[in-house]
Amino acid sequence: MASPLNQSQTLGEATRLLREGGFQQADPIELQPNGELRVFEDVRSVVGVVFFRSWTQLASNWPGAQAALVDRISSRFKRSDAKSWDGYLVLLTSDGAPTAEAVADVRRDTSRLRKLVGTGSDLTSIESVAEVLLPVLPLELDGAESLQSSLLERIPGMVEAHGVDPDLAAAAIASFEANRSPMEGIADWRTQS
Amino acid sequence: MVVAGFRGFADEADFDLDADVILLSGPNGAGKTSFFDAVLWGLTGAVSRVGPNESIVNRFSQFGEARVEIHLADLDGSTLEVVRRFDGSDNLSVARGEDRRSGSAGQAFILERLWPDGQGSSDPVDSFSQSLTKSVYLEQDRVSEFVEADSEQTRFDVVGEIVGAGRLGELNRQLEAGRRAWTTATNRLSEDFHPTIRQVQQIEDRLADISGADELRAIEADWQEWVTEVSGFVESVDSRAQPDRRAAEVDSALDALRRQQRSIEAEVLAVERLLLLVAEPPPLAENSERDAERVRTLMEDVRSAGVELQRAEDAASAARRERLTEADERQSLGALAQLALRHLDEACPVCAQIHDRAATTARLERLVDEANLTPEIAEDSALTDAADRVRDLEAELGEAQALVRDGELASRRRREWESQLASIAVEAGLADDPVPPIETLESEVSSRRARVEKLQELRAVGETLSVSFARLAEAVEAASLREQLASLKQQVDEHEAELSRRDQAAEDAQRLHEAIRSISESFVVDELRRIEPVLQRIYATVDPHPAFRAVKFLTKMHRGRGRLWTAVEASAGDERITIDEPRTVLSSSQLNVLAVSAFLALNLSVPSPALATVALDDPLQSLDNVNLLGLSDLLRRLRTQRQVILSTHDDRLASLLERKLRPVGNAERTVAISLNAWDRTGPQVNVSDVARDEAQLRLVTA
Repeated sequence: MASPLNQSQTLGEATRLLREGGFQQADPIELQPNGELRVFEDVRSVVGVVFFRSWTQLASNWPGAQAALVDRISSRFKRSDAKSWDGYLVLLTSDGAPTAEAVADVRRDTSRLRKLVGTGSDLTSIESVAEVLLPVLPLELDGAESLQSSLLERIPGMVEAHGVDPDLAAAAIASFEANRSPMEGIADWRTQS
Repeated sequence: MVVAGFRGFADEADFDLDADVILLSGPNGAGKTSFFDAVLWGLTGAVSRVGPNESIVNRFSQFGEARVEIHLADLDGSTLEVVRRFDGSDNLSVARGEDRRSGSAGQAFILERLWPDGQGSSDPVDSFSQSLTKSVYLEQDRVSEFVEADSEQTRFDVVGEIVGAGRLGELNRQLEAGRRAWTTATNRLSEDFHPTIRQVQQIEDRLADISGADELRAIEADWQEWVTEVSGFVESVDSRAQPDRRAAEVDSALDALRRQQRSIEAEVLAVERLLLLVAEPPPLAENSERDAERVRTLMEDVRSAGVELQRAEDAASAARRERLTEADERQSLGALAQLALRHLDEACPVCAQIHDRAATTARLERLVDEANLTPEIAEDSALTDAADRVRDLEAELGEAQALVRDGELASRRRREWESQLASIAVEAGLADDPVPPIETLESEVSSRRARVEKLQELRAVGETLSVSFARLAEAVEAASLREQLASLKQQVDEHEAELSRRDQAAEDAQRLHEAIRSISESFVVDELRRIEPVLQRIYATVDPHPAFRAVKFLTKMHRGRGRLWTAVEASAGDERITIDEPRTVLSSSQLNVLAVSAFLALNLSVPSPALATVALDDPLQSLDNVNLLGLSDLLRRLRTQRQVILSTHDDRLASLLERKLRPVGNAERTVAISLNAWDRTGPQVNVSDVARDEAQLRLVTA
């Protein structure tokens, strides 16, 4: 089993991801006794990210971190501002939670802010940080993007593995889509090649 | 969209849907589902969940009909206007700019514009409807159906249809049909060229036959010399004949020479026969005139002797008749005498005279005796002499006539000989001199034999020349054939290149067909593998379950039919637990999140969605707060990919969604439609824009 990420790795990746996701970083909030709440903001929402060295610290101190972030939001937004209701608190720890239910309890507390929780069992790789932050990051559709093109447009790339020239397939498909026989496209392609 | 008389809308309701997010709210029964069904019905003409079209007409419809008018903005900026009415029969009108179609043509137009991938389906409209209900419009109460209620096979088939397997199958069917037709045409083309190939073979065979004619000999001098010599025998040879005519000239001249040779040879034979005849002429006839005169004299003598003889015979004949007359009288008297003897009496029986019976009897008996006497005819010496003379003269005449006949025979033989000589002389060409001397004849024989030898020589040379001309003609023919062959071979090469190109194209088609067939067999599964990360990301964005945080598609192929399950996975140490019946481990709220996630993944992964829209009819029922927030966050991020149309019956949730899906920036627009105060005319429709968030960044700027 891979080792959990440490604080600097986790926070560093989270910061990078949020910045790349369109967030700007505001001044951090110092948490007692020696914690730091990083604050990010985009046009829609505010995100606070804090790392705890243990699950115990997380379970004990997340309400304080939430209160600090709510104070910061309240200092700049009125209750009638939509963004004042659009806050997220990302709670990270390299420690494992005693039970999944303990994590779910924190997440299910939807008062004031939505809580996103990443524990040692989640943060096993750099990529796993993104999974925790998914709800606040832009919806990445890497797999779907390749599907956005027409199926027939993708066929040339697919038949190449079967030893068929992609241009040949493209010619047949272009003819088919022009409501002509695919054979016409193949014949034209063979003539030109 | 304008709706009138359709299900919950009795009066006309106008909906401004020109926004990237549309939030529809209202209590249950206010018309939210009718709103979504209106879109589905307007585009497909049926809402299978509701039933036959008779049931979609609002009973309070002002005109007793249902009407839905939809304006769709195409990516190219054009607008597709769809108007469908049902007044007992379906009426459809579709317009795109000036292009307006109605009825089934209008439906085909909608399919062409919105769901071309369904054109390969056996029921394109049903395929279109499936694509809408499975990847665009998530119907109320059917939220979890995709992961729960549908059979595994149905799910697989629906996904296959949505991701374009039908279109792929149609492509491959057309590809195979086209390849077969192509191959048939290629075979026909090949057969059509067989005569040309046979022609090439025939020319090559002919060239092989005349391959020795490559060298053209200089035969002009030989030709002229031969013609000059031949002209002494044959006048018809044209020395100026063109080369291609010379073979015929030679052939004609050789025929003439041969005839002339035969003629001279005949003359030689004739002269030789003359020689024989002249050497042994028949004897001439002698004394023929004297013998003839003697015959004439003898014949006169014979005639004269004959006259004398006739006279003698006449005299002898008269004497003989006299004797015979006397004999007849005696016989008559003798008969009378015998009769009188029998009847003799003393008196005459006739005259009764008394007579001397004895004397009479003696006399009568004497008469009887005399009657039996034979007449005596004396021999006539004159007659005998005359006959002897005649006989002698005739004998002499015979001898004379024999001499005359011999003379005539000799004369005839001489004439025949002379005639033969004359005839043969004509044959020998010596008519002017019927009986030439032997020396002359022998000279004629020699000269003719010399000419025959010359003719033989000329004929031999001529035949050589003829062969040369034939070779020359063959050489010319060979040159022409080579040129023709080169042209035909070029045609054959081009034709074979064309056939090769066609064969290669057919092979290309076959390979492509097999590749697509191979792809088709795993296509839906592969597409699901591609969609799976999207599903996982969507599901993880909401993250509804603390343990089952992963989701995947399970597929199984059996006899060409696929099955599909949506499974959730949890990690327990190094072990992964997969549950292919999510309802056994997920709450209804979590199950709803999973179903919506699968629906959204499919919506976002459809290669060519019919509408770039995701329409969710009250999907957030039964959701607990955390999942509600998670789903709201997800939908907020969908607006960059799809137009989001979302309904809810919960006012509190509607407010949450308005905040979460508020527009930010000028490019976004959120429309809130509230359906309230339903009466027989339908709900009260309020359409308003959600206020744009102007807060922008405040923490950062601070």
